[in-house]
Order: sequence, then C-alpha cells, then structure tokens
Amino acid sequence: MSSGPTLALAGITKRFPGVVALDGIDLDLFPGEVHALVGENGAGKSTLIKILTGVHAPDGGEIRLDGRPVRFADPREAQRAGIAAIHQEPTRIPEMSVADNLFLAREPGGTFGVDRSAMRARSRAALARVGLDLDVDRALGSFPPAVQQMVAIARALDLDARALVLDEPTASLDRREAESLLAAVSDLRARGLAIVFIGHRLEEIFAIADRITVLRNGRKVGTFQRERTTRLAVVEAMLGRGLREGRVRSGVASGPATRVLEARSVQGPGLDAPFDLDLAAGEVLGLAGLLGSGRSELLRLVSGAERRRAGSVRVGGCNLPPGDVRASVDAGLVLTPEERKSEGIFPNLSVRENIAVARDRAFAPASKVRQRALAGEMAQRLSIACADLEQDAGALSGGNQQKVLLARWLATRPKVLLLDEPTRGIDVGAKVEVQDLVRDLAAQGMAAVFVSSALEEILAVCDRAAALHARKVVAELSGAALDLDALVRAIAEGEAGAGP
Amino acid sequence: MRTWRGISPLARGAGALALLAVVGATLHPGFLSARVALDLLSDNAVLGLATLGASCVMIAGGLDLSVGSLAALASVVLALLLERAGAPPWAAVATVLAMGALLGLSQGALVDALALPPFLVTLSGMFLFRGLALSLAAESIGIAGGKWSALASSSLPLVGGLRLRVGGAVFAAAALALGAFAVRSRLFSRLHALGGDERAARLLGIPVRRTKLAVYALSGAFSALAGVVFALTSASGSSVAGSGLELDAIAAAVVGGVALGPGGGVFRGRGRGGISGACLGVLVFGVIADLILFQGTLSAGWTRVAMGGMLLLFLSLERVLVRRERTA
Amino acid sequence: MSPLGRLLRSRALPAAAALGLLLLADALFVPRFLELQARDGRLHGALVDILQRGAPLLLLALGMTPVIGLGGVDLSVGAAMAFASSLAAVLLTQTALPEGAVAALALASGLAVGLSSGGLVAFLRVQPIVATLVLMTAGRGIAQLLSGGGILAFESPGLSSLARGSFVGLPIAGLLVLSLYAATALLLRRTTLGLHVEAVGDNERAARLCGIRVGRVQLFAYGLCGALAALAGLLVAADVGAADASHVGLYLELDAILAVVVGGTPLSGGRTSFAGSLCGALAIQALSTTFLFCGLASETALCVKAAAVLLAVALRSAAVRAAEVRA
Repeated sequence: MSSGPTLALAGITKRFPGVVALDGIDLDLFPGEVHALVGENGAGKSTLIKILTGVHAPDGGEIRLDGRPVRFADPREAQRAGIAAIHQEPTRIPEMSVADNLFLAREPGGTFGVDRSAMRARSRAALARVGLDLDVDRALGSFPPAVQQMVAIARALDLDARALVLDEPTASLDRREAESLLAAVSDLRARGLAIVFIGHRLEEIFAIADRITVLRNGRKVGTFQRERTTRLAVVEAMLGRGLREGRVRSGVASGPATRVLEARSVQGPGLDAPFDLDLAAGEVLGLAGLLGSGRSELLRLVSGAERRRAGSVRVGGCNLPPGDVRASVDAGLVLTPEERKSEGIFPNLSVRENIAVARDRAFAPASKVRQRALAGEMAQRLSIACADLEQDAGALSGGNQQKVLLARWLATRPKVLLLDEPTRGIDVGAKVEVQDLVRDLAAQGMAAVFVSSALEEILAVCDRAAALHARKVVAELSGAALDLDALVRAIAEGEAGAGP
Repeated sequence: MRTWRGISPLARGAGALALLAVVGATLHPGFLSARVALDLLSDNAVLGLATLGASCVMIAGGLDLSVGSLAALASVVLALLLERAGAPPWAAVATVLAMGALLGLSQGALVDALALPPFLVTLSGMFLFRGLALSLAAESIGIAGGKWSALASSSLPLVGGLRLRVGGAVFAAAALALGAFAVRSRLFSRLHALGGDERAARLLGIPVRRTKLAVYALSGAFSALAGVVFALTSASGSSVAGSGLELDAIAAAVVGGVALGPGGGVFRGRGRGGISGACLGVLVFGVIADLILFQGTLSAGWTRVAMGGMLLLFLSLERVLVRRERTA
Repeated sequence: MSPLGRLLRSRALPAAAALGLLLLADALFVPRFLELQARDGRLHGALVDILQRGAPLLLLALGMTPVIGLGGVDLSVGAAMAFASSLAAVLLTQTALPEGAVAALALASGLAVGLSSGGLVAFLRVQPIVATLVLMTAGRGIAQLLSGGGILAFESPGLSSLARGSFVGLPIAGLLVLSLYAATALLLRRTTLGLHVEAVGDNERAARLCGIRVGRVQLFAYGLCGALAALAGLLVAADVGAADASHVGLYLELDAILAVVVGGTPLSGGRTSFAGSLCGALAIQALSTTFLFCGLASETALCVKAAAVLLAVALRSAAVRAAEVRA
C-alpha cells in the first residue's frame, strides 16, 4: 500500500444530457504528491472533481481508494473515506465565526449542546496545523480571502483527510496571498498528503505540481512530469495545437479602412495595465490568452458592462460614457458575454423575444408580427435550428443559443461586435458556422473582436491578434508575424513577440 | 470597517434604542424609569414572542407569514380547552404549544418537500389558521377559570418592590432561553449556515431538511406561545388576535438587523443577525410606541411612520456602509 | 401553432379553468347564482356583484403583475390604498378642490408610494419584500395621521357614481377595471416595455448587458402598481362614502399576490399574464361571493382559499419540475 496510489481513477465517464462531460479519464494520485489538473473552461476539470468527491456518480469507470473499489453516494461519504475537497463554489459562511466555519455540522460537545471552549481550543489546533494563528471568534468574512481559503483547508485536514482536492484555490487571491497558500500546500505534501491541484495560472502549476494532467473537451490529453516538460508543451496540449490546423488567413490588410473603434488607455478592475484598442471596419481582431488572463475583463470594460476607471472609448467618432451599456449599443458597440447561460440568454423567453429584446428602447412600439418576421429572417440567415420561434430559448443547444445572441445583436445593426468565447461549449459544426459568420460580417464591413482559447481558431478567423498574459496585453501580432508559435510564446511566457 | 461588521446589527439596534431613550428622557422626566422599562416588556410580549420565532426562520433564510394567525388559533384553542373541556392550565398550554410546533413543522415539510417558496406556503398557512380559528369561535371566548385568572394576574417580584407582569416574564424568559440556546445549540449554527448560503451549507454536510423542519416547528411553537400570552393578558381567546402581527414581527426583526443582507433573492433573508438583535428590534418598536403614548397623541399612525422611518434609515445605512466596505 | 394549441399552452389556462369550474359549480348547486335581474336600469345578480366588489382586488392584481414579472413583489399596495383614500377624504372635506383634482392628487399619492418602493429597489438595491415592507408600514401610518386615526366620511357624487354607478346596465367600476386591464396589457404587449419587464425578471444580468435600463423598468412597474392601488383605494372609499385608514386594503396585497401567482405569473418572475391575473382575481372574488351567497361564514372561505393556494402552487411547481426533467 505504501508504494501504491492513494487514489486511482480508471476509465471515468460522465454524461450530461446532450454532452459527454468526461470520456474515459484515468488518473492516479500518490501520497506525498501534488498532481495538477489543467484545462480550459469546459474541459471537464470540475466534473472530475465532483465525481472524486461524491457530488456526482460516474456513468462508467472505477474509483479505487488504496486499491479497493469505492462508490460515494454523497459528499459526506467521500469525506468519511478521507477525501477532503475545497470546492470552487464557496463552502464557507462569511457571516459566521472562524470556529463555527471549522466545525459546522460536526461541533464538539455532548447532549447539553456545543462545547464552545473545546471548539475554540480545537480550532486553534486545527489552524496551527496550517500555520495560522487567528482570533477564532471573529467572522470569517472579515479575513482576507487567502486566510479564508486556508481555514477551509484546515477544516478539510481536520477531517483526517488523506487526499485533498483543491479546486482553483488561488482564483480569488492576489500574488502574495497565493504564494503563502502554495507554501502551505507544499508543506502538506511533505507530510504525505496526496493533493489534486486545479488551477489555470501556469506559474503556480509549475511552482507546485509534481505531475500535470491536461484535460481537453472531456478527454485526457496527457500527463506530464513537471521536470521533463515546458510551459509551452502544456499550453499546446491545453489549446490543442496541431489537432486541426485549418486554414490560416493571409493577414493582409485590405488598404486603408475607416477606423470604427478607438479605445485609449482604458483602465479598470481586472486588468493590471491600461490598454489601447483600435479596430477598422471589416477587421477581426483576435484576443488570445489563458483563462484569467483578463480577456473577458477587457471586453467588458470596452463595452461598458463594467465601468472603466480611466481612458476613453470612441465608436464611429463619438465618445462613449463609462459604464453605460445602452449608450454603447446605440453607438453600435455590442458584446456577447462568455457566460452565455447566466448573462446572455433569457431561458424562459422565446427565441423570437430573445432576438428582438435589444433592438428597441422601452416604450417603442412592438408588434409580434414584426418581431416574428425579424426572428424568422435571422433564424434563416444564421441557420438557427429551432422547432418554433415561440420555443423557450433555454431549451436550445449551446450552438443555437450562441447564434440567437448573435442574431439579437445583428438586429441592432452594430458597427463593432465584441465576441467573448463565441464558440465555447458548442459542437464542431456550429463552431465552423459561427466562424464563417464572423468572416461574412467582416466582409460586409463590420468590425469584431474575437476572444478564443483555441489558437487555431484565432488564426483562422482573425486579421490581427493581441495576446494577454497575467492581466496585461503583452503582444500584438499581425501580418507575417501572426503565427502559432509567436502566439503560444506570448501567452505562455508573457514575452512580447514580434511587435506590430 | 471590519469592526463594523463584527458588531453591526447589535450596535445599531442598541444605538437606536439608546437614542430613543435619550429622546424620551429629555421630553418626559418619568420616561427612564424601571417601571416603564418593565412595562415595555409586558406590553410587547405578544409581538416579542412572535418576532423571536419569525427571526429564527429569517435567520435560516426563510419567511413565516403565519405567526399572527397561528397565535390567534392558539389562543382560541387554549380558551376552548380551559373553558369547554375544563383542562388544567398546564395541560392546555402544553397541548397548544405542541399544536403550534406541529403546524409549523407541517409548513416546513411543505417548503422542503415541494420546494415551494416559503412566502406562499406560510401565506396559505396564514389563511388556513385564521380560518380554523374563526370556525372554532367567531366571537372571542372569555376565560373565567380561577386558576387561569390567578395565573394571569400573577407577576414576578423583583428588587425594590418592582414587579414584572406574567406576559413580560414569559417574554423575558423565552428570550433568555432562546438566546442561550442560540449560543449552545448545534441547531442555531445550522440556521445561520443555511441562511448564509444553502449550497455551501449542503456541501459542508449540514442536514438541510431536518434543519428546515426544526426551524418552522420552532417558529410555530413561539407563535403558539404568543397566543398563550395573548390569552393571559386579555383573559380571552380571540380569532382576530394578532392581526398584522406577522408583518410587524418581520419589521421588528429587520430593525434588529435580521436579514438585512443584499441578494439572496426576493423571498429569502440572508442569515444575518440573531436573537439579541430581534429582541432589540421589538424594544425599539415598543419604545417608539411608548414615546408616542407619552406624547399624548395616541396615534397608531405615528408609530407606523416612525417604524417605517427607522427601517428606511437602517437600510440606507447598511447600503452606504456595505458600499464603502467594498470600495475600501 | 394552432389556436387551440396556443390556448392549451396558455399560462392563464389554470386560472381560467378554476374560474370556469367555480362558476359551473355555482350554476349547478347554488340556486339563482347566475340569475341576472334588471332593476332601475341596471343589472343585479351575483355575477355583477363579483365584478363590482372585485374591482379593487382586480386593480391590485393588475398592478402587481408586472412587479412580480420583474421578480419583485409589492407589499405596500394596501397601504397605498389607505393613503390615497385618506388623502382624498381629507381634501374633499377640508378644501374646496374639485373632485377631479382630488382624484388626480390621490392617484399621484399612490404613484409616489410606488415610486418610493421602486426607488429603494432600483437604486438602493433593497430586496423588494423589505423595501415595500417599509412603505407598507410608513404608508398606512401616514394615512392614519392624515385621517386623524378615525373614519372620515365624505360626500362626493362624482366618485361615488364611479364606484357605484352603472353604464348600460353594468357597474362603472367593473367596466373601468376591465378597460384598464385592456389598456395595460396593450401598453405592455404593444410596446417593448412588456418584453423588457419579462427580460429583467428572467435574467437581470443579461438584461443589463442588453442595454435595458433596468432601474427605469423597475420604477415604472412599481409606480404603476402604486397608482392602480390608489385607484383601488378611491373605489373602496367612494363605495362606502368614507375612508378608514386603518382597515382599507388590509391584507388585500396578499390576495393580489395570490391572484397573480394563481394566474400564471411565476413568483420568480420572467413571465407575465394579464389574462391570468384577471381570471385569478375574479376566481378569488367569485369564491368569496359564492360563500356570501350561500350564507357560509367567511372562515370556511379562508380555509378553502388556503387549500386552493397550496393546490395551485404545488401543481404548478410539479408541472415546472416535470418540464425541467423533460428538458
């Protein structure tokens, strides 16, 4: 047992209605090891963790704990078996005290209720194990996020865990906080704990992990030994280089065109440095970067979805006020957000209503007949597959929902489209359709910013590309300088490639 | 700002109470007396007990609109048991409390099993209990039994010849007991966790269903106790008792800092505040009423306006402070 | 979709069916319930009664529909009724203002109550239930102050003909309410406003990103709700010729919410059904009238109402869940 893996997953498969979230995943985890799990959104990391911790049951495959097959009915069973998890969704109650958070649902004491003094003492002991010394009666929410995260880890460890799953533990931490958390994690490894570490900051992964497993589209791409690999190789595995080279645009600018979007030294939450953005009519600019590199934040600042702190955005020569989506839409600058479900689609409204909703201001006359005509025209133009225009948009497939969002904006006759991961989580056929559509629109004179974590897609669709690394724009590539190697280097290392 | 978070609901309630007391003392020399303070407890015992129960539900992120009707039903059943069935007072009270807990429990079961909004479930409970009370007794039933009258006119002797009337004593005892329970019990941490974030609570391994059932049962029992105190103070059981009590109780709880948090959806609280806050809210309510009484205008209107103003003040204060905390 | 299919999928169907079944039961088991008599140039009978007595509830349900469609709720409508009716009574008895001006001022007072709740929700981001609780408490308080705590009797031929008069044999109040339903439904369905309301209720973040000015939509809905509540208050006060600040519209907000939810507008927002709210409110009123007609006490009505709510809501939640499973 001492040499075998603490946990071994074999052929884990999980299907959700319409998607295969995990497809035959193998993974093993040894004591005294930090095993990193990386992949873009939708790669299947979270689903895998949920299976590991008993939130979901797998549809196929086997989990072995110390060599014995196990099945967990719920998170409590997994906990009892010694698998502790820090989930991405909060598992803390900020309003309650540190001690409460450590001992919720397992408070010490007898029939006469909770033994508060024992709870305090045990809290201090549990915190000491992760190197913390806190006032355990203070509300957890009053401590910085890193400390809160450490408290969650302390709780997990106090359950006599042998395997610890950390799902993006540093996502909400700043650099210094993240470093102290990583130090604590490596401390735990030294004590023989088996640790699964999910993250998207490659610096952290390479600082902490012993092995790195890359997932992509629900499949395992490979497992790398940290010493024997490079960031470049991992990024390539994540973004799927070479899987489909596809066509590459020549990247020749078609003469001088009118400039439609002009953003100057825009600054705001989520980005570490001010940025400029210029876009000419008929041009598609790709925005490449890993998750968390600031690409969504950039689009939100430009579109007014997030209020910018400084800088200016001009569309077609007119200045846009900060944080005013309506003004941006009126000026012809529109955004399709990355979170299609929570920020884009109105799931209980019909396809017709979803398409018509942004076109007119309030109190403008609306007629069902005209809306239906508009929606029908759009559905045909974008080949939206729906049984009926009165069908709820929430019931459509991801690809069709994305087309509905595009149709919603096309109905407003925009000048600039900001597309945040428009092809994420949709099937291959729809992906190509969306890519073609963006090119068609550009040919008709529309400008677009196209965010994607699939680099071949950026090369296929965009005339120019900008790369983001660690919440900064680090490179702008166009013409002959725009190739896969330069992009990968810029994204992975933060090096400015050949400048524009 | 962090210190604010730690002490907030209590400090605000206590501050408001102190401010009102100072205003009262400057306007009326006799305002700050022990007798007035004790009467405050007795006069607001029914509201206080209902608020205690309703606050527990709000802390757990729910809502109970049935407290007033359940109090009325309890008072009617109590009167019937005492007058028609000739039951001894302790047995009648115990029966009524058990009934309250059971009715509360069934509401909790509906909220949990059917995943219905607590607003609707307890709204129908509100109609149902009031209807039951009315069909049991359209007119109020006087309770003339000797034992009950003796109990009703009894009071708790305190130092200096002061006495606390039975209603006030029940409220004070219930508040203290619930307060101690809140500190010691596992149930209360679970309530807070549930109200703070139901999903997180589930992930942390809290038995969500059992906790929900328990809190609605608790609220039911407290509503019934409010009905008992009503029967004590008015020497009757009345099917129209406690009308408007549910919303007053929510208002008092909100003034006391319960469920003031942002988000959480329309029909949910957010697990903030506690028993002491709820008590303070009730006392603020009572002091405002007293102040207006002392003023001699005898208008319920002023009480409501002052209460509304107080609610508004706290809400804006909370908003401003939360905003500042975020930007800080 | 065929007209029949659309009818079967309509949100208003359960409420309409409930109303229909109730009237059918009345027709079968309650003698003379559906009978109409023409006396003094107007119709009399239980059906007319439902329309006339139900007018205030119908108005509240109408105003509450967009508010709930937004994912909100307005508990202050009863207080707005009390406020508006007391204001009208005070103005009529203590000033020489013409009736029209008094009515306009009363409506404006309701609008102000609604806009205040809307402002709290839209700009201070207070939960609707808490925000409107504030106005509910303070609004009735102000009404009691205005009227001095008692019942204020007043004379107003214009208002009372509005509340009690008849036009081509039908009660004016009922006709007024029905035409307001038509007007509001038209306003929301024939302009983008209705879509914006539903969009905000369905997904507020998406609505903001669509450029919908969410705050203004909220202000509109709460303002409309307050103004309609004021009209309801005027009707009630004019009907009895007095304003009773302590009791006008007490608990009526809960009935209105019930009517809207039974009528197919989900409490979580995102959809509105004016026809449903109309049927829901009429069904609730028909229930009360039936009990009155049969001489049954109001307590039985309360119990039946409680059971009906639970049944309706539970069925709906079961249907929703079944739909989710299918999806």
